[in-house]
Amino acid sequence: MIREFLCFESGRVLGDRRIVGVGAIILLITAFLVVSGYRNHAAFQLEKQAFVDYERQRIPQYVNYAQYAALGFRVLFEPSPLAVFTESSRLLASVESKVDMSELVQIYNVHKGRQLFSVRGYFSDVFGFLFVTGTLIMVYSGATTFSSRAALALRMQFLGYSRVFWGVLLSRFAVLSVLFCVPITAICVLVLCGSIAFTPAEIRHLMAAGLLLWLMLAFFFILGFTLKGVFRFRKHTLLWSFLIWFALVFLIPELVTEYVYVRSQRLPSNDSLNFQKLRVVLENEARAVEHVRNMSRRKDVDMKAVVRDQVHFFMKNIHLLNRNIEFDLTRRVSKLIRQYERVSLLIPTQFFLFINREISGLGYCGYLEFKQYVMHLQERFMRFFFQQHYFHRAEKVKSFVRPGENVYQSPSFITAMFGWGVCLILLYMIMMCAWSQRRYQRLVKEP
Amino acid sequence: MIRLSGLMLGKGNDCVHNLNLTVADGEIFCLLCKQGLLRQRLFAVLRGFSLPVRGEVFFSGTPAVTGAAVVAMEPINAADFDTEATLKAHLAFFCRAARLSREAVYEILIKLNVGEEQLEKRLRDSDEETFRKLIMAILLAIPAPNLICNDLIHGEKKAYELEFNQLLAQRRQNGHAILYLTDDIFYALQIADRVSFIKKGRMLPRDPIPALDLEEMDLMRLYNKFLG
Repeated sequence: MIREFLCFESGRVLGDRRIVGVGAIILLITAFLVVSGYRNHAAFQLEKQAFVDYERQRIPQYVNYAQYAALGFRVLFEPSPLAVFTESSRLLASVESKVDMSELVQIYNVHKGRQLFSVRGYFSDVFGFLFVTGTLIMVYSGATTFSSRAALALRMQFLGYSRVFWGVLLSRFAVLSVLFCVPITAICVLVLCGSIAFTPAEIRHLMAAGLLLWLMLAFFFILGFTLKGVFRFRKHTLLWSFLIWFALVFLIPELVTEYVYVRSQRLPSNDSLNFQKLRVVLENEARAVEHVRNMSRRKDVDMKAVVRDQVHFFMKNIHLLNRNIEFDLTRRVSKLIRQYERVSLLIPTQFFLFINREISGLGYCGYLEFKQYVMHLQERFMRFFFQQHYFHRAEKVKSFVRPGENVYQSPSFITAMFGWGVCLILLYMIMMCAWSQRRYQRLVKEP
Repeated sequence: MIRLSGLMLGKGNDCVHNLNLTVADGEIFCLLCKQGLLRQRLFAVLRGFSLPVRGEVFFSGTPAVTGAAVVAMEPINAADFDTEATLKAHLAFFCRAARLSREAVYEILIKLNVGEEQLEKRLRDSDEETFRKLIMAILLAIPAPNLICNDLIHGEKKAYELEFNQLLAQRRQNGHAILYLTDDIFYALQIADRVSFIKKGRMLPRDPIPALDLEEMDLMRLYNKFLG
């Protein structure tokens, strides 16, 4: 009987010109987005090369280490290759960092020239686009699964309620899944076979994102199906389905983002933090100048040793103090991100968007890792500067940056809560199915 | 044989008390009732979708098992079904679901003047009557000894009505028990062997009227008395 259900439903789905027409358009746009993502990746590689070349040639131009310390060097943020699929949902578009001797941790977006146009809509990547269009088609297909009470009652005469309910539900979803998954998988395989080298972890993450997308499609299919039962086969079910879809896909994620933004206002501002660090540095400087002046008045004092002591004192105390201020901010930001993730967990669409962003390495985890990397570089640069400036007195400025060090390659991330999120979506789906089963049975049997 | 014993269902104005009725094999029994909701309720109980408050329904001496001993027919609209599938796809699905041979269905379809080419069309391109005939053919092809119908030909074309009447008569000849729920006393006169009315929750008269007696009665008076 499963074969019959599948045959009938495939005939229904493929016979629906609206679904087939929209499906064909989706396929074309998906192909275009994959090609576009691929080209963007290639363009970024060229930009990266230009960045590296420029930085390499810029450093030897410094006259001395004091100049090098003041002007520093830049670090480029490179997203994971998976950004080919999930690029536009990026938080960290065209991000760079400047590392110098100031105690500031500078991470900023570049909006100059063509980089001004690098920030695009939330859903203009492959996964985002498929998420929006796929969920819309699925909620429509779900709401039209059982066209009427009479159609269901007629089938029940032959097969019994449970077989009709599950047969139609599963076979229709299976047909729609195949329609969605086969072309998309083919496109992804083509890209994976292309010139971009994905690590095994990235392929695993890509599959996890694919699974999550498929779950979202299933979730919306069952949602549409459930809404048809809620509205008792009435014609305005489709309108309500569309409104609920819109709220889940666009409205609620925006509200959650707004909520997180409001919570983020409790964090100290960057300038107050910088001022706090500056005050620490200035106090130390005043103390150090006073100390060096006192020591210079004495006889038989090795002034070089005094300066070295001050440098050691700075690195062991003042720099650590400033680092702790920065770590404290990072801790608070991490806490907020965890809260954001926990809230996202409850709303499937928000959860998908959150994970989609992390998969590309352009999300919050990417930011935290990048910041840690920059702080680590900064500490090493300080030591390097002190070493060269106070202890070696080198004449020619040597580059601190080792090859590839001023490009941060962000890995793809799957957060620890991924499993919980998937389980929760499954739980929602099971609950909706169970409720629908009872609801449809009651609807069919009532006169 | 269809037997309703001490059946009680519904509440308020739309209820039936102590409905006792037997439809013998090879008989068409018309139960006339003005209230559509009550007919729906009774139909739902007869087809096994809901349980009565009290009483029992028997089909051919066995408790009601929908799909095995009885076939239920009610009016359908093509718009309520999957309009993107072809009629042939519907036919294939139902034949498989009801374990019917296609030959049995085609035999009835020929009697209903439905050709193969009409089945090739999608439901949305097909006419309403063809689809109804198809479903009717599928249901009548089921070899169940009992048939219940709920106002099936109400508002249909005369030709369709005559074709359906012929099929009913054939089933009666084959010894099937047929219970027909309607509010159309003139149609009941055409097909029924016996008729009875439901008014104010009671079956009236207690002994059903044979159709032959009905012909001699003043139908307008009967209508006003029981259905007005």
